[in-house]
Amino acid sequence: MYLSRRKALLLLGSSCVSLLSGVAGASSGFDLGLQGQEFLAKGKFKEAIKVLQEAVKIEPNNEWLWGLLGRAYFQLKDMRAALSSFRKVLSLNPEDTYSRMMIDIISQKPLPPRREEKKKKLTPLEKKALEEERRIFAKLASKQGLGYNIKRIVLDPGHGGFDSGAVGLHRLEEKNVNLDVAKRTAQILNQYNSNLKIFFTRTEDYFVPLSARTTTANQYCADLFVSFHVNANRNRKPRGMETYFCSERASSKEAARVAKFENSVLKLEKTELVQKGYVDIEQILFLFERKRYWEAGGKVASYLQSALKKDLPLKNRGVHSANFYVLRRAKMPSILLELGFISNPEEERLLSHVDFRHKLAYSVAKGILALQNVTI
Amino acid sequence: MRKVISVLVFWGVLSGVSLALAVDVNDLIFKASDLHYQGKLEEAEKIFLKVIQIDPKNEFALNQLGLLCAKRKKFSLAYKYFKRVVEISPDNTFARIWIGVLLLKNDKSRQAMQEFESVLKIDPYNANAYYFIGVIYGVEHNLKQSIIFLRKAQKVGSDDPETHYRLANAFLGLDMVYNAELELKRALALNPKHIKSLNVLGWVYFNQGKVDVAIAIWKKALRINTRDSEARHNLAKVYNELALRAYNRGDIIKAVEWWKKTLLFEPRNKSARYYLRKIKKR
Repeated sequence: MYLSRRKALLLLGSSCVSLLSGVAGASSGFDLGLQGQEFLAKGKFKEAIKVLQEAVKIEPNNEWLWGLLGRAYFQLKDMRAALSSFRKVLSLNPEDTYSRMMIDIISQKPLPPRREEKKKKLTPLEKKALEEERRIFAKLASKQGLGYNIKRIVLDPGHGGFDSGAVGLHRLEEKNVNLDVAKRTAQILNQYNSNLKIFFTRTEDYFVPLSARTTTANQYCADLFVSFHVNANRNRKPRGMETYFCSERASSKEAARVAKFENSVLKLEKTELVQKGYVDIEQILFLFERKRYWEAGGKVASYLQSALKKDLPLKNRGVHSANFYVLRRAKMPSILLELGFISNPEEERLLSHVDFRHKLAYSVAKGILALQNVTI
Repeated sequence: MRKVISVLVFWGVLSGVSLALAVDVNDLIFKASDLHYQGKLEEAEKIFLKVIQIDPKNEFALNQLGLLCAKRKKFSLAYKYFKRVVEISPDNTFARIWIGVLLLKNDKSRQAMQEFESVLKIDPYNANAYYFIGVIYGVEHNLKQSIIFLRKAQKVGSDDPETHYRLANAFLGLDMVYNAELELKRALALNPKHIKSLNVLGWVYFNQGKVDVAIAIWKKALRINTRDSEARHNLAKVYNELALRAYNRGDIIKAVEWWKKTLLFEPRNKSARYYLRKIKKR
């Protein structure tokens, strides 16, 4: 349809050439457009631009004039101006195939730089932002190359309040162990590296829903999310510590069981809708981002688990992955520590000792601090 | 390719034999593009395939085929088409950018980074290349580098909400709240329905103690998309915290009001349900 319209216009233009040649006093946008078209056909592109610029001043909403102007610029290889004219056509008629195609063609290759715009007067917020940038940004060291950076950590003591988590044979409650170890970890981290920023999902004995925990991590733009837990089993024999990270599928039946328990009554959100005939680059970037965080979470989990096994008298149950709700929504690498089995009487006894909990916290903190020297 | 573009505009310039061929190719390109823009992907693909049968080195047709394949989730074939374009014309930055994006899709960030850097060597004003490098640094939480590249993207012409949004996130990670606020407002000026920006802007205000402003912003996000889970989680978290505080200071009426609001946004919120049940039992 557009092709025939374009051809028709070309024919119309050429048939009018003889009538209009030499018309100096053309005043309407249409008249000027015809003149411009004639110049275009003769290869007089500068002249075409001159009259077409006048024409669009008279009729700024005439897509035909903008299209001709775009073609004239294109012939003079002024690609920025051509692009801008074709974009104007599309803004007036989003269905103009020719202009859209020309934009796609021009955009394939490098374009000359844009002309610098005149600086406008700054708003109060812009002034504050500029001052902030001068104050903070200049102090920051630049680090090129890839490798994950950790400066802000959210510590998440699992359970709390009316949700005690698992309870041991001697009534030791998981929620209290989690909170105590997380608080001690924060203290040690700050003691050894004052540049680290530590945030908590809870600081006292109250219940925090799972969704709110990840939301807190996102609220503070954390670089790492560490969830503290203690494991349990109906059988009193299992013992030891393990670390989890998020993945689409559980790495084992046991990992799936733990995730099911920790996810509690929640339903996971539905998988993203896939739109047919449409490629969403931001969706590609979102998936890339999430996979990268999960991959980094796996590396952090492995590193911490091997650091913990060196320091602690607990059986090493390894690193596992599962689809934990609490980890899934985090916009950062996230791990979940299971620091012993509260259901095992011997480990419950250990966990009830302040010294042992301090030792746990020290090992976790040491592992986190050492991450600064590891490429994640 | 330049030749092809020229004949698209002025076919009369060409001589007899080549004119017939060029017009044929250009008619096909125009027809295929039209179908592509109308969303008729398979039909467009068929015609572009005809184009490359006639002119196997037609960069535009090959790029469009790559794009059509990407839209139809045939990513490995798309990658091959874009690679072919780069073989024919190493300065085709459009194809190179897409190669980079597809490498990111396959989690090959190092190779993608190299591809984007190669684009910048060809075209130091390529906003897309700066943007994607900024994104990669952002994902690595290397925030200063991310800001530097996203700013470069803006400087050379990228003025879209996503660039502002990503800049805002990087600024927030460095506690540069004014810059974050400014970028989010810029994103929203370009697209008032940019929900991701509204969600983050809410936290910017909330963290400054402007709870009511934050709540109003998240509610606005929900008016745009009632199913937006992030806005719902944000509102539920804040209402639950307000309720818990009210409950602890003995203001049961307020606590009940806020927990009920919590349930509006998260009907299964364990905390709100527990306390409302507990209060009712009294």
